[in-house]
Amino acid sequence: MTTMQAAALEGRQKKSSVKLDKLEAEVTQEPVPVDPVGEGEPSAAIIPLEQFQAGFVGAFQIASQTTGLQSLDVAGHNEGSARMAAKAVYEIASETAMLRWLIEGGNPWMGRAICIGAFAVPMARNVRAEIKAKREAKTDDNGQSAEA
Amino acid sequence: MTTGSLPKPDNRLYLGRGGSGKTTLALAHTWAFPRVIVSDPTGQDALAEGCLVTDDKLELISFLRIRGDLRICWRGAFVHGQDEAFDFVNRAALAAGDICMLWDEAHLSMTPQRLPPSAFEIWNAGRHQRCRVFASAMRPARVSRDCTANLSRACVFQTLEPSDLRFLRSFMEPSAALEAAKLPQYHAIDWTPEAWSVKKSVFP
Repeated sequence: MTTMQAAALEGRQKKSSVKLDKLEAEVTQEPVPVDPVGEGEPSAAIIPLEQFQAGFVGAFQIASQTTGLQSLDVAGHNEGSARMAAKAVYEIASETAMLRWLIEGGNPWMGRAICIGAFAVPMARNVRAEIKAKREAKTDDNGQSAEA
Repeated sequence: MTTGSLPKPDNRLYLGRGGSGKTTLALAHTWAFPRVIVSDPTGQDALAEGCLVTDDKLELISFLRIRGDLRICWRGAFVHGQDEAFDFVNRAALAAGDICMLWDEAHLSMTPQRLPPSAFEIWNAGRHQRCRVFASAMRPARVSRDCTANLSRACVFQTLEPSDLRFLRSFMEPSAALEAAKLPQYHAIDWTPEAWSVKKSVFP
């Protein structure tokens, strides 16, 4: 390195030191971010596409088993299109800030959604069955009354 | 290469599906430079090899004060969120100067339209601080159009999606974009504004 080059490098390093000092001052004046997840826990990172696809397909499997509806079972020949749909959702979520939580690892919303679903889905199924049973009983009563 | 005392722009795109080898190639190219920051939003082990790893802003700044050869892996997205971490690392690189910046999974930090302000500055004016940017992305169509301006080189692995091929045609010759759809595994189009050819990765 020539003397001129060394002098130019020294000059650049001094300028960069001043700029880094300013950036450092800005950082030390920032308020400490309030972490809604918990004390000291890092914000969530984006989960890989493959993990999201596995979770997406798995959710339909669980729904199929919970409701007894075979149409929801995406295993076999339906899994390919389910994975493509999952990929499309993943891409939308990665581009849309409001939907980013869908692909953030460790986010609490999926767990909450599963808890609510585990309660609501069997409840809805039981309510439907009860209403149907009552209607059938009412029809039988009317039928018997007509015959009488 | 220099024009007087100011280097020519040296911004590069590395495009291809997951597992195609784009990140491996981009990392290999960064080893030609003494001072490197790898912006790692997804925490990949390969990106941290040989690096000082941090997610702390003040620690990043302290690393950048080190003279001489330096490799930093920035994982600020895990603490500060994607957008803030990306903005900060670009501003820090511009402040420090003499940096080769690798934006891994760049499409996570930008829209197809405009680059965020600090990213726009380092991409278009980074050479004034002797900074260059290598951006790797799975989906060319989701890379900002700002990245085709001031682009010195693109290494493109097999690309099949129509929207991605349209993006390639926006800056490449049609024949090169056509070739991108036919590339065998681990082969890439090595494109510059002057010429292009197909090469087997890893290449200099």
